[in-house]
Amino acid sequence: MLEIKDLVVNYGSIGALHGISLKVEKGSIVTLVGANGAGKTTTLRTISGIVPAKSGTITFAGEEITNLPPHRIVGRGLAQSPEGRMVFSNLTVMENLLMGAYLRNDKEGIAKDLTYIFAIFPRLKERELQTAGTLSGGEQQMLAIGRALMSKPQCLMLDEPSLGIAPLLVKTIFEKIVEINRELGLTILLVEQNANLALEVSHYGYVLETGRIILEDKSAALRENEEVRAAYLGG
Amino acid sequence: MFERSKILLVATLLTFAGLSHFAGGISPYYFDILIGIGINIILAVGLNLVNGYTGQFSLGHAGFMAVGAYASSWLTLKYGYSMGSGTLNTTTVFVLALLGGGLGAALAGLIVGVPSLRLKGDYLAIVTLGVNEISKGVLQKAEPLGAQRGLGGMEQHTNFFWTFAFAAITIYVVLNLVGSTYGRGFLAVRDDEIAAEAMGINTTKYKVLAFVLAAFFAGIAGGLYAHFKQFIHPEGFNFLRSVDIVVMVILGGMGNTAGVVVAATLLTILPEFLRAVSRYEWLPEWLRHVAENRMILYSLLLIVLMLTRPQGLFGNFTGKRNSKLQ
Ligand SMILES: Nc1ncnc2c1ncn2[C@@H]1O[C@H](COP(=O)(O)OP(=O)(O)O)[C@@H](O)[C@H]1O
Ligand SMILES: [Mg+2]
Repeated sequence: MLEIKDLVVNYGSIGALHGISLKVEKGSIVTLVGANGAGKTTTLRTISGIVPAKSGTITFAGEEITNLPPHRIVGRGLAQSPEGRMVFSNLTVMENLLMGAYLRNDKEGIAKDLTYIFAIFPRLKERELQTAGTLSGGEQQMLAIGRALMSKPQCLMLDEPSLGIAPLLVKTIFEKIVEINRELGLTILLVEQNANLALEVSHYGYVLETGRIILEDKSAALRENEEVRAAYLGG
Repeated sequence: MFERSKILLVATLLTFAGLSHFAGGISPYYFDILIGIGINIILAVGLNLVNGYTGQFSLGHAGFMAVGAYASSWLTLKYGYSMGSGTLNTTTVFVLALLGGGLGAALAGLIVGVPSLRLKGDYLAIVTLGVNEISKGVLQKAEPLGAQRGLGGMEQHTNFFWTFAFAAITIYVVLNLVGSTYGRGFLAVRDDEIAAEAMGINTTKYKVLAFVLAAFFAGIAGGLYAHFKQFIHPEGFNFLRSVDIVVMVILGGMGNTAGVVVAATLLTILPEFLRAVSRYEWLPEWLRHVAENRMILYSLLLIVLMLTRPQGLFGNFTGKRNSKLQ
């Protein structure tokens, strides 16, 4: 469904990604784990067309999307819930969700998806007319995921959904991610610093270290891997 | 809601048409201030679309005003008299010239906006500031437009009605635009440009649209100004004039149209008030000096405002938006 080959990304003269390759199979949850500064956000932003790729290719649903403008990429069904949530804080919850459906015209489909999102995140329904800036961190994360879902994507990319959120809510959010994957059959690329959680919910995992992929395997296998345990799972 | 605002606009226009009959009785001094208020409202409400709602920073709005002023003057000087008795009456020529000036400014906005708005960050402030100065420099050299001597001889077509009619139209267009489903894109760009891009919003398109529209209204304002003063000069559209407009937007509250209208009104009156103050000889010398230099006062005003009310005197967007799924 989504495939990256030898992707190189630089910020000015500083290299952020030094030729990474990864593959996300249709219907699966794939995770990209790594420490702070490894290049996870850069990877997602490059896939979304927000940061330009220097070389390498990104293929989505059989077609190359490398360096297309961001709105074209979203239009093809590749949505992202950005790091740090980045909800539109001056817009209401409802308006934020509708922003997610920005490129769609099918009113019925939009209404149906709204209902679905409110069903999985009832808290959003309760706060429908509240401005997003007044939501708690966890609620903003739900909103960011819901907003990304509103574009009716074929593949959803999540950038650190656990970041800065109360542990109890993190658990809820990860359960919802699994639920969305199962119920909608939605392909998910999950980027996480919290390798423990990410490897638990995902099918396949990649470990990123300073712009290079150093390991990849089935998530269950990575959880047992000595190296991974020592570096990312706290022994 | 859309319908109601349309009715409101028509009612406002009719009121201005009625009021303009009495405007003749006002003393020229107050009339001058009144027209100045209307023109500044057009400039500031337009700029608010860029600096307020869309969160960019344009610092050369007077440059677009200059384009409109010179373009419309050139048009009325060229066609105004010859057609006066022909098929078009002079008022029609005047309004067409205003629109021509607006379109000219919009085109200038497009040329400046497309390259600079593709970049993120504060390039726009630098570029617009530069363009403002360059356009002034070009006008100072342009012989057919009077160069250093300025351009005069336009008839005084600008009256109470046209000024406030265009002010009302500007407010109407801006409010309807940002209140619409489409207009949420402006607010999204301002709130978080990267998130907006990630949602599939063509942020460049929104930024350029806001910028071009603001330039259009600035062009109209320039045309009104030229056909009120009947004389324009490149220095009248310098950097300080641009700062005036920016201050109105900041004081009014970025993205708060009502606040910006109030701020534009107050800041048009303020220099007149200060001029009066600077003449009171019993005031201390330094105070009279400060009053004479309104830029010093503006700077102080802005610093105090940033420290105490960063959202502007009247706060940023207070208006309720239509957030239901239509
Ligand atoms: N906009 C930017 N400009 C310059 N360097 C950046 C920028 N964003 C990230 N970087 C650098 O790129 C590297 C990877 O960052 P990032 O992709 O944010 O990592 P992660 O998401 O894994 O924490 C870091 O060294 C970071 O400092
Ligand atoms: Mg990151």
